[in-house]
Amino acid sequence: MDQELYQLIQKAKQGSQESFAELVNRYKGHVFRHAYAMVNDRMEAEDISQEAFVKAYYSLSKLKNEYAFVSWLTRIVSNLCYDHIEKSKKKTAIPTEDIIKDHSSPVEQLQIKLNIEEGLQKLTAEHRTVLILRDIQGFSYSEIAEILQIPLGTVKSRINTARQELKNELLRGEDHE
Amino acid sequence: MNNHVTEFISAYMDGELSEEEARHVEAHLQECQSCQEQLDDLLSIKAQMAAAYQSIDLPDGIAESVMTVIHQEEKERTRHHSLTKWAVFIPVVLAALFLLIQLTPGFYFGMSFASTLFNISLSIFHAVTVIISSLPYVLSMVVVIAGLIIAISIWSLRRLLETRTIFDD
Repeated sequence: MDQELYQLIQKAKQGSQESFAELVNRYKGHVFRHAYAMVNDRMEAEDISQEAFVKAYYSLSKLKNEYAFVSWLTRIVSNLCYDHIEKSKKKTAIPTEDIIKDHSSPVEQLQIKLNIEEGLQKLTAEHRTVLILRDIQGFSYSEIAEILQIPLGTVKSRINTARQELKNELLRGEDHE
Repeated sequence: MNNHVTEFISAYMDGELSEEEARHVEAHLQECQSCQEQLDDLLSIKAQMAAAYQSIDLPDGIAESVMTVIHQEEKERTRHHSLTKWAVFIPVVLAALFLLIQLTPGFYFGMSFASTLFNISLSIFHAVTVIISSLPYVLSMVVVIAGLIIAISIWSLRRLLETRTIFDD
């Protein structure tokens, strides 16, 4: 963590709304991506992101270690996602309005995206979470263990099972085509 | 090939195995087609996951809406805080009012007189109940005497009415 970010977190902790707004700008992508991958609905993901930042603002004083800010924020959004999933327990439709930036062929990428999204939603919330934390957010296994408050061995086996299940779901999807 | 390394493949590709474990997996992969295919599949899924979600567009104005909610909440909290501050003074004001009334001479005299009267009535009532409960025939005697008084009263009233009738004639 760079010194500037450390100071920003400290100032926000002391009540500076300006510094907190800067933190929101820095981490909105991280938070929104996590929520969106979990609930597969843009509006709901936006609500969760907003809720996560507001919650973070009011509990920032409880954060003991500034260096743990990202893990701490991820824990907040992860828990909120679980709450929302528990509350709604409904199947969400695949939103078609999502815009994808061009890296390769748009059609090809849309196909990959839909398959991955569909497959991911078939997994349990626990399996989805570990894959998001590892493959989208790039956390290490020990960081994931810390965020989810579970043993390292559980993280290892859960990620392995989740990837295997996702592979099975994607293969099942191909069989239906 | 026996002893597949399926359960270690994820940790291997994430670089989360110890050197010894990683060497063991690598040695196995060179000889096992099935485990190598599994590794390729999982690597492809990992890459697809990252690509699919990193390219997602963020909604506009997340930061603005968060800060708006915080501003409103802060305003609400400040208002509530000032109300709470005023609420603290209510018992103080009530206590002051009570003291003022207590210290007023007229009020104090009136209150002590009423209190004495009340105490006397209470003592009389208490004495009467004690007497009634200690003497077994007192209650029945009181009832008989009361009955006699009522009977005499009715008789006198009738006599009076009769007298009025004679005068009318």
